Amino acid sequence: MSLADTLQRIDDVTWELPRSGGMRVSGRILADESIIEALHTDQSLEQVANVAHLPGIVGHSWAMPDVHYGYGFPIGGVAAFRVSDGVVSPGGVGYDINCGVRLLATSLTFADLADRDRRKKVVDQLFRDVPSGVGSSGAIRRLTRKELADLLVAGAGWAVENGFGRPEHLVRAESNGALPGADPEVVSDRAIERGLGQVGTLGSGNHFLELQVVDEIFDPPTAEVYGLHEGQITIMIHCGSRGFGYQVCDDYLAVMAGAAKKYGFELPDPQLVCAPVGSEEGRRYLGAMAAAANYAWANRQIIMDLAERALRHSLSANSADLDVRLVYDVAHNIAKIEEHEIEGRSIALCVHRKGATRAFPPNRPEVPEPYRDTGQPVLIPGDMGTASFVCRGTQTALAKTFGSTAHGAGRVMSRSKALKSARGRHIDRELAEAGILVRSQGKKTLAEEMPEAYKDIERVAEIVDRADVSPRVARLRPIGVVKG
Amino acid sequence: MVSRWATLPRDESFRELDHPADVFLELRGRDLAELYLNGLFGLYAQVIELTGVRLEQIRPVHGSGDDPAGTLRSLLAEALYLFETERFVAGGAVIDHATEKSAGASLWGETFSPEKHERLLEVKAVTYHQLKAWRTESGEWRATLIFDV
Repeated sequence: MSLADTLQRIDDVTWELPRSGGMRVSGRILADESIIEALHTDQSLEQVANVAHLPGIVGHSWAMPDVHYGYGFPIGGVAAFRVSDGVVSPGGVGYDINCGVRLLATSLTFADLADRDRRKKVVDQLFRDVPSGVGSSGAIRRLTRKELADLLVAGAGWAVENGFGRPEHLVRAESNGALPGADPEVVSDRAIERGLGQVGTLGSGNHFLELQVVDEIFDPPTAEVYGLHEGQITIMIHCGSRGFGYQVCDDYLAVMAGAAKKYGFELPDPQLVCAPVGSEEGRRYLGAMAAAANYAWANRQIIMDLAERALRHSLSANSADLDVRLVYDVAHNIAKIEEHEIEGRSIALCVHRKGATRAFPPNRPEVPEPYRDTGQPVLIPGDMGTASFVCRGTQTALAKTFGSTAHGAGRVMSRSKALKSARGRHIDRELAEAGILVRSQGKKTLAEEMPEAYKDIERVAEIVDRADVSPRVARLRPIGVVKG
Repeated sequence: MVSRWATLPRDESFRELDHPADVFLELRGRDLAELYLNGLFGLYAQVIELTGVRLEQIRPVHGSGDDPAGTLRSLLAEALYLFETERFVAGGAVIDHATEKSAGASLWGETFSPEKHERLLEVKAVTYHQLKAWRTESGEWRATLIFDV
């Protein structure tokens, strides 16, 4: 009998994975029948169960509807540990620390870019001005070590101070674009070396910059507060902390392997290596992770500025004409110390969101003032041929999933299968026929990232809506894509 | 003598196993030295099109670990670091020494240039996931590893 056979349905879209063996809490999955069916052939439920073994876990070990097999923790996993006696684990954050999404609104409408040549000019300029792909660098000059140390502490604020964007952008980013507690002193020299030349670059794989059009509004009052309306042109940026974050994760997996032995943790999977939140190892990891998170926020802030300049240049427009505004910026690979109510008491938790997005409700102090009445915007990107969603955070999410929801579509097809399936096809032409202009640096990227390689984002968005953890506000359809 | 990737038999050096998101490789080697060599081959084959790389410069890399799998991972992480920091891509290599706990290689290649080299995937990290190395009954070596991409 597989773990999937033990699942018990609790409500329309919530399933319970009962406690067994050394699980300290049960698992919970947000899904519909088809997603549960797919979990029979996947090992992510085992990973949900493994996470439930870790010391200090509270509530449930959660999986979002886009769950898939990761390293140690599943991708799409959410787990919260008491700061007092719980753990922090690099595997619960992932290699790409603060991989996340930033959404920009403009005053342009689809009518402004309906002309294909004009649209092509914009996409080509974005492709030229925002470095992407393997080995990409050079958007801004290589930083000095001192500059990088300042960036690691100030995050997006460093970018704004250095001429990339405006101060008002900072209030519309999760954690104001900088986690407190970042400590460049606990970051290895290797991470610093990897980080010096990559600021302001997209990277490759599933990272992207998209030109989109708002094609459906589900919740008009909230959309109005977010500054979104039907037919409007938006820009979405998906990337993270580049080689800097990967190296921080790599370094601390080795540190945590020693720590797990030192503290006598019995782990069901060696990749769940962890340390008590308050231990020397735990504090050092959180300081390095915050530095990487801040690198990612600075990166997305700079890319936003590069994109805005590219838009102005390609359309021969000025700032006032385009009115590019930041809607929001979310992290979807991160561990954060947050206050949550557990059994009637407010306690400090270390909430791990690995491939999961924070979805805080109205009136929560962390939600920026402009969104205090609606709840924070939640950005859930889809594949390059379908759509992305803007949702809103809710009280249900806060009470149920530690204020968390899905982060994207999640792959269903391996890269090699996608390559085989694309043989003899021209993915770029197929997308162009659907009105989506794509530009990619990598020879195989378009085939590997083709829409069929991903889960149906519409289903993911529908489930988080039905679960009321992040109801849909708007649907964004891609019309131009820049890939690495 | 330098083993040049473009002339090595790819199918006999490594094969790609199914993985939903990342690159999962099984490496082969008649001995440890060949296993480590094929690990480097498998890494660079993900990053760029190998036929266009010129063997103009040499860079030494070292790896160490508690066992062959750990040594292999450490060696490849070192090569990846060299690519990320110096943009050095290898078109071939010589394994200078190979033991279960230590390996050294001389990488032959050149500085990466987006104008000259065909880019493929960005490897974020050489993970610990499915990281194994073992000896077959016939005395050859096999290893599995996953690149996070």
